[in-house]
Formats: sequence, C-alpha cells, structure tokens
Amino acid sequence: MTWQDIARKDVSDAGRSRTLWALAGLLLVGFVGYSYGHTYLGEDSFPAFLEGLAQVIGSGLPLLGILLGYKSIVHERKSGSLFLTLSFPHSRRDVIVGKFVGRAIVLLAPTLVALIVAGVVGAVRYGTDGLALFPWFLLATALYGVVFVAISMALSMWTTVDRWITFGALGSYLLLVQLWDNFHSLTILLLHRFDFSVFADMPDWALLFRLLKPSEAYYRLLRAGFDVSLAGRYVGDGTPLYVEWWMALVLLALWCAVPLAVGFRRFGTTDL
Amino acid sequence: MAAIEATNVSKRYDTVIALDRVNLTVEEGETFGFLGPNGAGKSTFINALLDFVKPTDGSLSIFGHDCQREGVAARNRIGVLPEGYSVFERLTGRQHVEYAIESKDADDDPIALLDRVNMRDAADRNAADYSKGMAQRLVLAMALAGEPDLLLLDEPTTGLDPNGAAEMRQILKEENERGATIFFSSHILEQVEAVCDRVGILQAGELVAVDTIEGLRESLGGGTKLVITPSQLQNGTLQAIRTVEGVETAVMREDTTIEVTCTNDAKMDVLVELRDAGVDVVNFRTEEASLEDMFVEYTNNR
Repeated sequence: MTWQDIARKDVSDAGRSRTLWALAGLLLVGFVGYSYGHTYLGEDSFPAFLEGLAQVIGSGLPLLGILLGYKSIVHERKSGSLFLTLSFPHSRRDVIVGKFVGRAIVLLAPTLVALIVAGVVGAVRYGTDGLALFPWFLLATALYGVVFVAISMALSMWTTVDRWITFGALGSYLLLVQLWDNFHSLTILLLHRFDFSVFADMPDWALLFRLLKPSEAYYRLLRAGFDVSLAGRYVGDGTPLYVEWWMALVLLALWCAVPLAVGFRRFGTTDL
Repeated sequence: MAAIEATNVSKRYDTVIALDRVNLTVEEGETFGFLGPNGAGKSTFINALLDFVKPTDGSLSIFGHDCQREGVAARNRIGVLPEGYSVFERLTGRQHVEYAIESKDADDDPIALLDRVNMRDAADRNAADYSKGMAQRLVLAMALAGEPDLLLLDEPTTGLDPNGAAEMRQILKEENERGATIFFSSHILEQVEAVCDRVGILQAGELVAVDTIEGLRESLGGGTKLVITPSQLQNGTLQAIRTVEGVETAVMREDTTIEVTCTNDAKMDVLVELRDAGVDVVNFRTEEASLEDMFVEYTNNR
C-alpha cells in the first residue's frame, strides 16, 4: 500500500499553499460569525443553532469540496507531474486513493476545527442542552463534505478537457445543491403526465428521490440525532422503511463510491 | 532474465501508427541506446513500459513483470526520467528527492544524491524555478534513488550543456559498472555512441535495426569517411567521385571540403579520380564513419 505516500504529500503540499490558510480563515470567520448571528436568525437553543449552522454548511461546503477536487487529477496530468509520481512503484489506484484521502483531510481539517470553535461559542451563547449531538453533527458534516470531493475528483479523472471540467463542476453544484428540488418536482410531474394533483399526494418513492439530494440526506442524518419532530416528512405513519436515517447514510456513501468508481473506470485504463 | 522484453508491441492511434510490431530484448547489465528521429515512437515505447500508454497489441515486461498487468512490480526496481514531466510545484529539490526515496522505500541520503548530479547548491530552492537542465538533473537524482536495477531515461540530455551531458554520461557509466541496466533514448547520436553497448534504431514506429555499434558499421559497408580539402572545385567533381565503385555518399561541407563515405578499398580510387579530374588535393584525412552518418543513412534511405 503506497497511497499513504501520496496522501501525505498532498496534505503537506496544501499546507504550503496560501489558499488553504485563507480557506481556514474564511471558514473560521464564517462559522464563528454565524454563532453570533444566530441570535437574530433563530431559536435560542443549541440544537436550533446547529440546525442553522447546517443550513450554512449545506450550500457552502459543497462549493469548497468541488473547488478542492475538480482540478486535483487533471492539473497534475496535464502539467506532467503525474508522470513523476507514476514512475514510482505507485499504481493509479494508489494515486487516486491517496489524492482522495489527502483532499478530504485538506477540506475537513479546517472545517472541523472551525466548527468546533463555532460550537464552543454556540454552547456558551445558547446553552449546553443537546451538546451530546455535536459529535454526530461533525461526523455527518464530514461525510457530506467528502461527497463533493469525490464527485469533483471523479470529474477530474474523467476528462482532460478544461471546458467539460468547468461545466461539470458548475453543473454538479447547481444540480445537487440548488436545483434538485425543481428537478425532483419536474420529474414527478413528467411521470404523472402533468397532473398537478400528484403534489398533494406524493408517491412513496418520491421521498427516496428527494432524499437522494446530498444535503437532504445530510439534514436527514442530523435530524435522526435531533428532535424527532424536525425529521418532518420522513417520520410518521405510513412512511416507508427506505427513508429511515440509515438510508441517508447509505445514500451519502453511494454518492462517494459511485462517482469515484465511475471516474476510475476510465482513468485506470486510459492513456495518460 | 531480460531487463526489458517487448513482444510484438503495436500502438495505434486513430490515424497514426506510433509503434509497429516492435520486438526487443535488452539483457541485464547492458547499456542500450534507443535511437530515432523526433516522432519515431521512442517515447511511446518508453511510456508503454511505464504503463502511461496501453499498447494496442503485444506485451512488454521489465524483469519478467508484465508492464500493464503488474505495473507496480515492474516499476519496483527501476529509476525513470520520463518525457514531458514537470516538477512538483511547491517542493524544493531536496523534497523531491525525499519523496522519491520514500516512494521507493529506499534509505539514500537526499543530499548525497543531489551532490552526484551537481545540484547540492540548489537543494533548498523551489524546483519550479529550476531551468530545464536543472530539472533534468533533479529528476535523474530521483531516478538514482534506491539503486535501481534498470534506469529508463527518455532523452536524458535535453536541456543540458555539453559539460552537463558529459557528466550525465559519466553517471550512466558508473551506474552500469554498479550492475544497473541502462536504457535510454536519444536523437543525439554522439551520446549514444559514447556509452552504449548496443543500439536500436526506431523509424516511424518500426525497429529497423538492433545491433552493436561495430555491427552497424559493418552492415553499412566498412564505413570509412574521407575528408578531402581540394585546391579548387569544379562542376561535376562530386558526380565524378560518386561514380567510383564503393562510394556511398559524397557531399560538400562549407564550400571547402568534400566528405566521402566509402568502403576501405575505395579510398585510393577516390583520390585517383580527383587527380584525373584535374583537382589538386591540398589535404585529406580519413575518419571512421560516425554513428550519425549511419543513422542518417538508415533513416533516410528507407
């Protein structure tokens, strides 16, 4: 196993880059800023504070994950430094695993540190009721961030055409973070031949479809640990088993594994 | 066991055949020069050995390990200077060598390696600021890490000044004496001539000759070169020389000398022909035909 060499190099490379420290500073300012701002935005309790923080993370963290991942492979491939790495006894798989782990660490280390600082501030301001949820919150956030590293790295493995990578990065952010709900509604509407009454009585599988959105799965995970009433539409009589909290876990894991596998299928067999 | 074994290796792109059924065996301990004009497919062959490129047909192995199926094992005991690389953006020279040592599970001293390639003074500078020649030296130092059994070098002297090229050849000799097999490509022939036991000539994807330098000379008809300085030149002198039996080529150099490649027996005949044509010979000397002459002949006459 040599992926550790690659991951270690990737992390220490990032440590030498000014961008990373800027990112850490930005996250710290953002998250701690929210812990103060929450006073004006939401209910005065620790779980509600985490709920609000999760909203910020829900649309912010994907952006950072994508930015860290979308050039990770293609840049080294096109500049030629990948040739040096692959001249050594590393397999392409080692390179990908190492890069993925490296980038995940580069994203998560500053994110988690900033969240812990924000969490302390939050606990001081909004009380310690529900503090036990905090580790679960960090874990879910980590998984959520890593999903976007995986998706953007897959893009970086798939093609060397700059235009497609840019479109792909932008497109995946828009679809997965911003437009999924519209996509969800439109699909259901199409399948029901524009019979709008379907929205009043959604089929069961539509819930799973909605849960497929990474941030939805992330919130579902969080709410599994929190107040049951916040789990909203996924809890209650007659909701199917396949939208239980563990399904959110499964879906996020799939969002990591499937893009990486698809990207590697191509990267592993192509001419560099 | 052969250091490198290529069996019927072909690589086709949409419209181009980069390698055409190449068969080649490089024995352990050899220094093998891989020659060819630019675009002949040398780099494609080396990249296939490194599994950067997947051959369309045929198979390659390094010390018995298939380069495509067991790439990691094949690359385990080799040092590489690839084509078209770039150094890592944020690492110093020393950090590059350290990364190489780590990746190969070796225990060399990075400074000692940099010293060998004359890069000790630049060890702590960011490698992104190196010149091409310095980068070549650095990557050679990385290749030397872990005392590899095979050195695979793609145009190693690119960007080096003549001194640097001589140092590079010296290092290759030392490595060969240590027991390493050396395989390197070049389009600069004197470099190959100086260090190689055998050479292979690649032309438009085809391996057109594999032989020792002496063997190539012999197969090209004795290979003597006459350099003649005539007192004056008349129209038709060159043509007259070309009609002499045994003469292969006769060309003007710099308006003042004639270079003739011919068989050993034909030397006197050439001088006699000149005298008969009324040309006084101010000076003449003979040279062994260089590999360059042979190379030009091989690659142009096909």
